[in-house]
Amino acid sequence: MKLIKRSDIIFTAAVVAAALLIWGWTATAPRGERALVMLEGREIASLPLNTDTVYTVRGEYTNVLEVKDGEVFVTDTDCPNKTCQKEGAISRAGQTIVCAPNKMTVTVTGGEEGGVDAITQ
Amino acid sequence: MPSRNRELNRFVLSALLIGIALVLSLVDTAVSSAIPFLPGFKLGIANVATLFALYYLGVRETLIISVARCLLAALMSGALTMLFFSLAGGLLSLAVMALLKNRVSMVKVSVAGGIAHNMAQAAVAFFLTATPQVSYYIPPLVLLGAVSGFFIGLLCSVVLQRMMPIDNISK
Repeated sequence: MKLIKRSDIIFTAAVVAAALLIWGWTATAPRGERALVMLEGREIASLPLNTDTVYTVRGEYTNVLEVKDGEVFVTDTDCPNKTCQKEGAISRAGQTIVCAPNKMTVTVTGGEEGGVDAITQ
Repeated sequence: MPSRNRELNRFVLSALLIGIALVLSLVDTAVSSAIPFLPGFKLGIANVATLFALYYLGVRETLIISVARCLLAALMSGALTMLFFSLAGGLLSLAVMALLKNRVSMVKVSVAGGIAHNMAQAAVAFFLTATPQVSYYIPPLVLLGAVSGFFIGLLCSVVLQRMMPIDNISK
């Protein structure tokens, strides 16, 4: 039995390349303007990224969100795996922080929608 | 060799593989939590034991090994949420690998299994949070699943090759 075939390497490389391409594409998205906070699928807050602020999400567990220098991140949580904290800061449209135990997500939403909203308000 | 001994050997090997898979999934938790941007998700290192069992013992034993591993790992870590993630990942990757097993090479089976494992976890994250934005994680998850699947497949080929000369229980 041969350990590895040329087609194995080509197959894996193709999958990796496709994933990298799509990933790279999402990472070059424009900087977002608002952080949309969802709890159990419901929108509970929309924080403007240009204003430094601290926001606490209270669900089954607690996540403390901080907006600073146009980025949003989780500074503290009492959920068991603390994974949302390790996800770091996000700032580009579409990027998302997920806290599965608390059923909480934070998504950065695009600049244009926010701009229109700001004007119509 | 009498068939009763053969059955006993398969039984003991299955038990051993549960132990190996359990240790590997604990190692996985430790290693995966060091990856900063993809927390909560696993590399699927325990798939080494699953893949080996699939080729050496068969689908039935592998299913038992996989489910037992998930339940025991959840008991040891105490996090119920993780049980959903690991069960979904383990079962979907096993289903995909069992379907592909006799069609393509082992490395490809492993890569597909790795991707399926991570996709199932993304699906669980989606159902738990009811947020479609979880899809943001799909590209890095496919990437990690493919890379870890590749090396797991390679490792498992080596192990199987070494085991074949002393084989008296595989199908």
